[in-house]
Amino acid sequence: MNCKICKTKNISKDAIVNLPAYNLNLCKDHFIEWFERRIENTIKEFHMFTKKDKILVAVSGGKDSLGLWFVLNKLGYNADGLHIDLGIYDYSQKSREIIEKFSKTINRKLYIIDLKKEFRAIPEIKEKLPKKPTCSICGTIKRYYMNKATKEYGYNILATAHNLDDEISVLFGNTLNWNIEYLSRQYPVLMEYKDAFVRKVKPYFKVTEKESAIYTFLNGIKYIEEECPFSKGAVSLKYKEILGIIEGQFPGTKIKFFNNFLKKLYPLISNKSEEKEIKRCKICNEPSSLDICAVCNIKMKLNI
Amino acid sequence: MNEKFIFHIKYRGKIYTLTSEKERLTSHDILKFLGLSKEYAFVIKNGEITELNTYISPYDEIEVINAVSGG
Repeated sequence: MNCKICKTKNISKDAIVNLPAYNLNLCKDHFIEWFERRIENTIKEFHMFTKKDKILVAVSGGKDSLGLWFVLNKLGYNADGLHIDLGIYDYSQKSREIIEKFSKTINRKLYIIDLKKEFRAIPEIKEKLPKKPTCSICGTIKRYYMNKATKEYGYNILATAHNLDDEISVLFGNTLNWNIEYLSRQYPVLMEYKDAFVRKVKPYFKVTEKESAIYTFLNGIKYIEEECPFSKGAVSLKYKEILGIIEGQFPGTKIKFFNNFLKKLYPLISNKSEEKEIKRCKICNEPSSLDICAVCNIKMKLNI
Repeated sequence: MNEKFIFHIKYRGKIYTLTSEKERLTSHDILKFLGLSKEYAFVIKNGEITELNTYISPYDEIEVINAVSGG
């Protein structure tokens, strides 16, 4: 198959990427160009940030976050990295080494929060709180430290690399359960709120996991391929498998599912104008809906 | 006795061995052998991304990338 863009210029070049959702076949150079334009357009369409903003990218060491950190800098944005070392055996050690090396390659500042020092490593928390789902505890802790670190280190934007597949698997789960509360908050930009929350953005939400992996591969970025040992059996993986089967039969379903949610349902259920009262955790003074925030609550259970 | 062809496939840090009576397989065959979806995974042949109908020989360096991640 020939590259569709090359063909318009009367050049015959083999395509290496097939994108059935957009009826496109692209060569390496035109795929990279297409991908970067998509990210840039997403950032602009949703007013995520400008070149004047100070952005902190949450980097796990996976294909999405390293690719996002790379592309933001390539597009001329001012983006440094934040890594939370979860202390998950070799997996965390390898991830950290890859990120440290990568930050030197792109010559950007990297902040590391070592959970073993700040708190407890994830395996230890799992052992002490076996009834709580590990991914849920890990997510709570990561969100807390990411918001706190972004403020403390003097950045105004926190960028995460959630991709289209991540977003639609969450959307699918929330829709199956008609969880209106969660659906009303599922938006690619969560605006800053007073001095409590920084702005959180998801510039990758229109690209699939496969598109993201191809972009990272084509740019020669080394990333951790192993999955987190605690993610086995996660419901989100099952949802992705199901949605992948539908996409295979009806290309374009995934992007339409999310785009139409944003266009048709989200405006009906979001509470943008509502002035919320922000409470503070009595222990750490971070924003919390309860007297004691979820992270301090976990710490109390662990006798920290 | 039929000749057997051995394909070595690198996937997530491990090497998998596929024994086949066919002298060449497609990228799609490799994904099916590993039980991976073409919606999420792709095959790298000698450092280049392949299409699903690309032929792979036992002498090629084969790596599979599965993009799916979650938790």
